[in-house]
Amino acid sequence: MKKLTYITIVVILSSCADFLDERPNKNIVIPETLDELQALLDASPRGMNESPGVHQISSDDFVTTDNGFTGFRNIIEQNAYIWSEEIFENLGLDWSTPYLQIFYANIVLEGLNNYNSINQDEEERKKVIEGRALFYRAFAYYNLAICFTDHPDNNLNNTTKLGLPLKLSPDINEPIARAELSETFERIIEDLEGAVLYLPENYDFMTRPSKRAAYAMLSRVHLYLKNYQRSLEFADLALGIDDELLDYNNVQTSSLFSFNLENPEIIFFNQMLAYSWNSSTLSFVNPEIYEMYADGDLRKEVFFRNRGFGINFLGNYTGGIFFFTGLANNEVMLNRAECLVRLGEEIQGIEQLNTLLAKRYRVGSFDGIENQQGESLLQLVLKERRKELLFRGIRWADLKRLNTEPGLEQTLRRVVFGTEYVLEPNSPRYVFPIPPQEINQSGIQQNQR
Amino acid sequence: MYSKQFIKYSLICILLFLSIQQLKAQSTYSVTGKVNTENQEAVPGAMVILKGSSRGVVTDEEGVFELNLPSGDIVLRVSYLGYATVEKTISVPISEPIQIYLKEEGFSMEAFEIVSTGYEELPKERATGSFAQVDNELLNRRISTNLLDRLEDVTPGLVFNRTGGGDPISIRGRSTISANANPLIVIDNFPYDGPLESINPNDVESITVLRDAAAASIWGARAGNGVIVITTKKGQAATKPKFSFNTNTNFIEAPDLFYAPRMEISDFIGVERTLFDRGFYQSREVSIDRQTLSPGVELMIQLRDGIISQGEYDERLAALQSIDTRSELNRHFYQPQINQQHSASLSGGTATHQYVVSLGYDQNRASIVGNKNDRITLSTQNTWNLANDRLTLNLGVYYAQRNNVETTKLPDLFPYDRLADEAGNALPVIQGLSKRYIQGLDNPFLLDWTFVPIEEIGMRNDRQQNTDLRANMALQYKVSKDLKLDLQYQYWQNAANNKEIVSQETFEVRDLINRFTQVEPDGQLSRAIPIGAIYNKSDIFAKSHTVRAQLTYNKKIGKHQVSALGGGELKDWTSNTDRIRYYGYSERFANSENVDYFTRFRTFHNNRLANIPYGGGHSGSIDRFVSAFANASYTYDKKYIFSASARNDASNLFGVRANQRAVPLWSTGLAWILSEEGFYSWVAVPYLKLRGTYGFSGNIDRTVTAFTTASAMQGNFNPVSRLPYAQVLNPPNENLRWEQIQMTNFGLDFESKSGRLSGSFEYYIKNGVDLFGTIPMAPSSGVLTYRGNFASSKTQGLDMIIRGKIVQRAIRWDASLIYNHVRDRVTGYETQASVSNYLAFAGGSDLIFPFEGRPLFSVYSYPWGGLNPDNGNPMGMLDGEPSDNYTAIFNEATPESIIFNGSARPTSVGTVSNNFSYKGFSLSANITYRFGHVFRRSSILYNSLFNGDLGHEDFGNRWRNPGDELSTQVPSMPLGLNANRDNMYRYSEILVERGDHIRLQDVRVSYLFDEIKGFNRLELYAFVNNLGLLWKHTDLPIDPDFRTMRPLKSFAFGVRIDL
Repeated sequence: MKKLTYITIVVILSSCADFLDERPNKNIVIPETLDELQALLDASPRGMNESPGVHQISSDDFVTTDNGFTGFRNIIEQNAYIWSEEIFENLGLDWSTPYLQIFYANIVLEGLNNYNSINQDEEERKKVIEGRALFYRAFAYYNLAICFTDHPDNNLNNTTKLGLPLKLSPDINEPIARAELSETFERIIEDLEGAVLYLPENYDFMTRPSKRAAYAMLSRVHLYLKNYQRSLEFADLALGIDDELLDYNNVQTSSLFSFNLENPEIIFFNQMLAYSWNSSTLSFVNPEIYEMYADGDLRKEVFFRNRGFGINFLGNYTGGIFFFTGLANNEVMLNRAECLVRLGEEIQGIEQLNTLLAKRYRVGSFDGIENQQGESLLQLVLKERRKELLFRGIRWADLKRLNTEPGLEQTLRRVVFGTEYVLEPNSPRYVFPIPPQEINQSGIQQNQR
Repeated sequence: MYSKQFIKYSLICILLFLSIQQLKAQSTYSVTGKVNTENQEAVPGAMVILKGSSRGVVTDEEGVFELNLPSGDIVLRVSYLGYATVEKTISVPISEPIQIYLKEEGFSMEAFEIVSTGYEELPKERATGSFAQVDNELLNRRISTNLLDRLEDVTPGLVFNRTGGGDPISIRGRSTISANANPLIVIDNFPYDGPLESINPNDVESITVLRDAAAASIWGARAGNGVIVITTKKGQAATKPKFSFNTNTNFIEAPDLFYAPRMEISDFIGVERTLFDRGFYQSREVSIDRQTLSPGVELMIQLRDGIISQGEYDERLAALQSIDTRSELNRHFYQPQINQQHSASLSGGTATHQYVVSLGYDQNRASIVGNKNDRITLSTQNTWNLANDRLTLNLGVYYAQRNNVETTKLPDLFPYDRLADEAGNALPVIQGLSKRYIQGLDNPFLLDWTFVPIEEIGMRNDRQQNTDLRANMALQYKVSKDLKLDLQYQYWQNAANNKEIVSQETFEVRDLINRFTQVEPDGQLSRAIPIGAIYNKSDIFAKSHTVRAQLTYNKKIGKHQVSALGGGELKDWTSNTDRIRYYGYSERFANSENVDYFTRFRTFHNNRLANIPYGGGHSGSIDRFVSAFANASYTYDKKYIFSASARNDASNLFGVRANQRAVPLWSTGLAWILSEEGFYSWVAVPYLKLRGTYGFSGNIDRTVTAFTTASAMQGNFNPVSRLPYAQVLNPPNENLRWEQIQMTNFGLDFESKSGRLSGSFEYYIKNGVDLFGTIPMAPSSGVLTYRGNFASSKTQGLDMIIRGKIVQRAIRWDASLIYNHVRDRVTGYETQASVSNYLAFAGGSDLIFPFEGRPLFSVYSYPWGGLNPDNGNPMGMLDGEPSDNYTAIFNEATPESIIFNGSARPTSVGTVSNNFSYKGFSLSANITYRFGHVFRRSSILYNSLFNGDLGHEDFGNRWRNPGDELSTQVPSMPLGLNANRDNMYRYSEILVERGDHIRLQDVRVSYLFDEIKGFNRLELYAFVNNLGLLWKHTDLPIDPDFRTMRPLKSFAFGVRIDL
């Protein structure tokens, strides 16, 4: 008997180490392999393909009624709609979601750094994943920059140009401070240029970044920074890979949402964080925009539904209720047209506009733009941009950029329950306050508005 | 004092005497005898009765008696105040005088109390730790299907929580913040992995609750929340077969839907009318999602659009105002519950083999028509004494099968939906999509899109079956007189199989099929979801193996007594879950159809993109433990006891360094039986014991890891790409430690002369060290919260039980008083949550926001500034002045500036039990009390009223005109939705009430037939539960502890028979 006990104890002790190595939950892993790291980047349901929406509420794409205003279920929406000084209560997804993307990208970059490929195939795959991670990080920083930092050319505010806290490692305890604004954009461009080196030309899944997406994003960033030559170069590179357009003559307007995801224009899929106003039928398109479309312009039917008491926007490239904030050929073409016009290549600029608009008008009703030049041509390009890219999360960046150009400034006005609210051009209220939890926990400097 | 062997021997003897029941009437013989105390002193005046008759005598000065008795086996019953009644069987004729020894009752009670830790059984008097014992009689007092219910109100230190927090019971307050807060349940020496519902209370012999470190630390890292040790019934050596049967039926009234005070239906429709006139429903009316509007609002639309006349409108609105959905539900959906419980067991044994076999069947009718559940339990336990008693083998098998059948689901209705007309014909109600949309459809391809609640009664077929099997084997080998070797093994498995066949006839399925009806480019309709039922199936299979080897040493040399045990334990637990859903299922032909989960379909009613809901999934978990334990106690001269125990637990924690996998924990204790000292001379209290212990137990949080972990998700949850993905669960935490609970306990046990008064007092200090806490992080780090060993807590308390034998004549009156006091404070928490978090929590949700220096579950509120005399707006305080500038008030509020109203959990809880008996008749009643807590009462919340919930009755008392603010505190009705305004009122101090109350919990009446031939015992009993409040501090019409539904009254009766 004692012998048996002895044997039992020896067996137990010697097998202990292995016995306790078993993973407690089959669904839980320490992400280490290339598949596991890629899976982190594919986490769209966690927000990898989402971008801020608070600036869309503040932008002039959108209006609502008093009933619509009180119907906002989130106080952030009310604050943003009337450009209040305070926006967020404690947390704000508009801030934390991009930082979550940055966190995931940094985990992946660190994981790849520790990963030793066993063969050339793996090494190539590793590079592609690295390119994707860099793209996600740059995309997130750009989205944060348009909300939470000033435009670099806004000279009205004499404060130092504050950038974003730049997190480049997954260490959550690393102390952080806000970088300079110029450094922030340098980082965005460096990451995107790094991504270009590794990414495949086109996407396999539209939620994954490609070289085409990195070029399109570089074009967007440089346009915002008013580097028109660079923006043009990258627009050319993106369209060089694929410049197909969706002919709106073939879009069915009988269904509620006009588009679906089988859309050749989509370069990279991204959607706007959902707020309650997304699904309210009292959320209307600014009637000024609705009036801009000429007869024969299919967008008037494809984008909108006139409900009698207001116009709803239903032309999302997501195919559903969510606003599309990814990259698409129509945006790249409009970037290109604007850059060409600004750089004096007016004929080419008009050509580019005509290529796009030909697919937007009813067959036979579009004659093409001719005989436009100079200031009025720039106005026309900007007007086309406004008509094409509404509810795409682009307007806020455009407002900030154009406000820095004399003659192109815009003053925004709103009336809620009889009170008029005004947003002056270059107002500090174009920069959203950072959510209080960030200020309280990391002590970084708040934006003054 | 008595040794363990003697106690066992005495028990066996008593049981033996009890089982002999035959009487033979023949000629009489003279029998003499003497009644003595254990110290050989004569007992004069003792009653000696011939059991089952009224014949008897009283002993003389010398304690001697004489009786004339017929020949045969006869039972004598000897009783004397302060001494335990003894029954002695004699065979008449008998030559020498019988010697009968009486034990002083008080001592005998203590001495016979055996406490079990799951590793050993020890007499309570030799313990240093804090044990609370619930014996069989107390367990059987209450009638319930569930075992745990029977511990309520009768166990000092154990409190049932009624305010959320995820811990239905706690022992001496909550020991953790965010880790597992449930006590460890041990059944027959092994931690139980299955659902407690599978345990038949009739199979349980006794329960011991281990409250302090010395008692519990033998369970180490799992004992932080206390341990409940359940011991099932076992056969007794040398007893005749005993058959027991117990049956009872419990009637529980139907839920009282009118309990929570609500506004009048006519007022509710009036609000709808006001909102309609303000254009409140405009957005919903034209909603692309075809949102539903209530019958009243639909009527208003019809009036506005000229579809009906004013006269017709008035008439139909009046009809709606007379409907109350609660009455309709009462009439058609609810019924009283009827719970039936039957159990039978057979036990007995010889010197070499003891056995018990029992069978139980419970059948419960649920409170919703057509729903029911049942349970079958079968258990058997056998013990063999082999090799001249050197080897003991014990085999136990416990099987339980529970079935839950749900054929009816409660519909979600508007406050005034009529379910049937006067003739009893079922009526349709508005459900899912707007009435105008459904009525406007004229499409024969679609399935009927109306919902008729009454027709769906009994239409579902949801079956949950849980099969639990536990088998254990214990081998004990007596190596020598003092040394024993135990080998124990337990196998456990549990299969939970859920089958949910939702018929195509149900609205749920018709609705889903219609929503996924596709319009083809040619205008033809097709179905993405095929016709047929939806069949959801999930199977969870869990099993565990536990092995334990243990050496036990007991030695007594002169005044020294040592007992020690040590050993090791290994546990392997696995659980796997598989879920699947079938569409187009036909029960008749047992087939189903494939659907396309990949395509994003346009839904028919709103053209949104949607995937067909996928019901599949898999998960699997494995827990492993390797533990080593040792426990020793030393007793000197039966007066001084020293104990110590230690345990090391290692587990397969994931993502931690190897040295973090294990935690060593220890405890030590001292006891002094003061009354054994020579100098002790307090005659009134012949037994007095002092105890003190100190030690650690632990807790584990398996979700926290030292490395980054991610959870792998299925592609079905990824709507656009359908790619499988991973989400980060935990950022790395390199400084991970186990939670430790440090506990100091002081106890005093006493007993007065003749056991008239006995009891114990326990005072404890419990410090939670390295508790897991969640702190907010800077979102730029990528995580919003972070869990780590950030918190500490301090709990002080008192557990007290006093038992008294107040009257001990023909009428007996026994009483007991339980008093538990718990005062807990969070002593360390690195960061603060936001004011809104503190306010919203109030013990109502499972997310806890601790605040340094305050109880873990606390209620906070804003200072109240009354109503604005101009418009009836609720006002808070801003810079010392009443104000309705809510944004400013909320922005300026800090966790320090808001009011701390008190603990959400009672700080004093207890029971007063009284038991009266006269002959076979007995009556007992439990009065329970809970003091020291506060709660936030509900009132009218306009946001939820506007969104269609029937508001609180305070609505009728709202501010309407200037001046009303002098007589009411209920805000006026606002123009539209305004969350801040609602929150100002909801979280203000005027809605906080004290929860103190006393209730008459239950009454039990029973009659024990004294002697019926052929029966060893025949008892009839009745039990009434939840009798109601006797007193409450608040003037509100609700029960402070049950604010949404009062505890339902129940009435049970039953019979218990032993043969």
